[in-house]
Amino acid sequence: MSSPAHISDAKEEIISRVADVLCQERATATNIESVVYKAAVDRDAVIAKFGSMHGLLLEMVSNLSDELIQPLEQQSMDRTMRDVLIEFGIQLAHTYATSHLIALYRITLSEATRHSGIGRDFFERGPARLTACLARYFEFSVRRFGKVRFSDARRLADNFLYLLGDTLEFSDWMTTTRVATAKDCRDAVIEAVDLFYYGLVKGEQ
Amino acid sequence: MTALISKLLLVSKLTSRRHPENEFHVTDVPDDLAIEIDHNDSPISKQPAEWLVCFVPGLKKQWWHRFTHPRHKHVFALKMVGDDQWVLVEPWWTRIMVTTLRTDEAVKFLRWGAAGSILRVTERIPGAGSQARGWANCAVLISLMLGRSYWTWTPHGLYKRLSAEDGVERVELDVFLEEKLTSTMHVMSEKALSDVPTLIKLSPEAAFMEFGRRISKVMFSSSSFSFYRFAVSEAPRFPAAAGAYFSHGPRQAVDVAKALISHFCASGRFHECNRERASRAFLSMLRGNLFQEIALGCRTEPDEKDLDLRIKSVVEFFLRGANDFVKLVETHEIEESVQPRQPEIGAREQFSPADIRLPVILPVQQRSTRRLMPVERNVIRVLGHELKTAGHEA
Repeated sequence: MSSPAHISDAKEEIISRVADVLCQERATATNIESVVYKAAVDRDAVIAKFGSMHGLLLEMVSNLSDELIQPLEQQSMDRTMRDVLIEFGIQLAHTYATSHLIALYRITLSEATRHSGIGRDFFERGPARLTACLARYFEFSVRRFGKVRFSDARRLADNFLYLLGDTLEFSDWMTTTRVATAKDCRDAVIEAVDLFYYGLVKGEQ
Repeated sequence: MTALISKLLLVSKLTSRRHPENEFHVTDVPDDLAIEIDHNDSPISKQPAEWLVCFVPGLKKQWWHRFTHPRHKHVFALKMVGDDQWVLVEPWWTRIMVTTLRTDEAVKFLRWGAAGSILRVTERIPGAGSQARGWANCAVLISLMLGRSYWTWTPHGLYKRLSAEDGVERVELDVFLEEKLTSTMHVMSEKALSDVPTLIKLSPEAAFMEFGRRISKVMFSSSSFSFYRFAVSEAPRFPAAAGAYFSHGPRQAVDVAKALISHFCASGRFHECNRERASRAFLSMLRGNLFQEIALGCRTEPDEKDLDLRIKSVVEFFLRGANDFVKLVETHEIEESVQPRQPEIGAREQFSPADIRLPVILPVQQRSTRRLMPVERNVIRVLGHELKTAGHEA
C-alpha cells in the first residue's frame, strides 16, 4: 500500500510532466487527454491519483492559485498595502505570461461546452478564489486599524483583479505566444496599482 | 339500390352546394387553413437555403466502414439561420438529430466536416427526391432533404453527384470562418461604437458610463460569448478567424477607449498614463468575474439593471480609484510609520528640512504629478515631524 507521501510525490511528478507539456504547447493545447498522452503519463495513473482527467486539471489550477495568493496570505503588519498589491500583481502577471494557466483555461473553456461542470470548478478554484483572497486582504487592511468591516471588499477585489491584466480574457490573441519582459510586467503592475489608488481623473487625490 | 341512389344524390347535392372558392376543400381541415398555401402546397413560401453538407470520416470504428470511402463514411448538413444560429440535420442510426447550435458548437461539427469534405449546396424547392427511395441511411436522407433524386446509397456517392452540379462549391473552413467572423464582428462593433465620437462632448463620468453601457450590451450578449468561446478554444486551429474576432471586435473597443482617454488627457482632465494599458484595463474590468462565470457556463447573462450597477461601479473605480478606501488605509499606514513606499522617500529624510527638490531627486520616469503627490505627502509628514521635534528641543 502506498504511503501518503508516496502518493503526493507521484501526483507532483504527474503534474510536473503535464505542466511541462502545457507550457510548451500553451498556444495549441485544447484537450487534457492528448496533453497527458504527450507527457508520456499513464492514463490509468492519472485516474488512480486524481480520480479523472478533470481532477488532474483542477488540481493544477488549485496549485497555481495557492502560489498566487501567497503574498495576500502573509498578512504582515510591517508592509504597506501598496507593496503587497504590487507583489501580488507581479506574481499574477508572471503566471499569466509563463505558466500553464492559459492552456488550462483554454482546455476548460473548450470542455465547458459539454456541460461537464468543469467550468464552474475551474472558476471556483481560480478567479473566484483569487477574488475572495483579495477581498479578505482588503478587509484585513481596514481591520488592522480597528475599523469596521469593509462591505464592498468583494467588488473592489473583482475590479482590482481585472485591472491587473486581461491576459486571461485573451483580448489580444497574440498573448498566447507573447513573452512579456519582467520590466514590462513590473511597469504594468505599478501602473495598475496607481490606477487602483488614484484613478485617472485629476484632482481626486 | 334505392338507398345507393339516394346516397349518390346526396353527395351530388353537397358537391353542387360547394362555393367555387372551396375547390381545394379537404375534409377535417378548416377551409381558411387549406386556402393559405403556396404553389408547393406549403403554408409559407421560403427561398431555397444554402446548406453546408459535410462528408466525414467516422469518429468511432464501425464494422461497415470497410465498405465505404476512407474520408466519406457519413454525411450531415448545417445551415446558418442568424448571426449566431445554425440548424444541424444529422441522421443517426436511431433518429434524425435536428437541432439549433451556437457558432462555437457548430464549429465542432464543421471541424469534423473539414476532416472530410464540405460542400456548399442550395436546396431545391419543391425538389425532385422521393420518399420511396427505400433504405433511409444518412446519404439517402440528406439527398432527400436537399430535394435531389440521386440513386445513390453512400455518402461518397452523394458527394460525387453533388460535386458534379453547377453552383456547388467546396468550402475551405479556415477561409469561411475568417470571413464569417470578420463580417459579424464588424457589424457588432459598428452597432455599438458607431457614434462614439459624440461621447467626447460629455463629462468623463457620462462618457465612460455611456461607452460602458454600449460595450456591455454587446459583450454580455449570448452571441458575443459564442464567438469568444470559439476564438479562444479554436485559435490554435483557426488563427486567422480568431484574429478576425479580436481585431474586428475587442480591438475596436480598445481603440475607442483609447481615443476617449486621449481626449480627456489632452483636455487636462486625466493624468498622463499608458493609454493602451488603461483602455484594456477598463474593458477588462467591465468583463470582470461576471464574464468569466458566463463564459465558463456557471451562470446565465445578467439583467440590464444588474449590468448598469456594475458599469457604474467600474466607471467610478476607473476614474477615481478606490479613493476612500485607499485614503483610509494610507493615512493609518503613514501614522503607524509602516515602511516608506518608495526608497526615495526614505532617502529624503537625510536631506535638510528646507530642501524640497524632490522632482530633481526622482528618476525622470517617476515625475508625473500622480507619482509625486504621495511623495510630497510623505515629505510634508517628515518635515512636519522634524520641525515638531526641533520645536520640542528648543
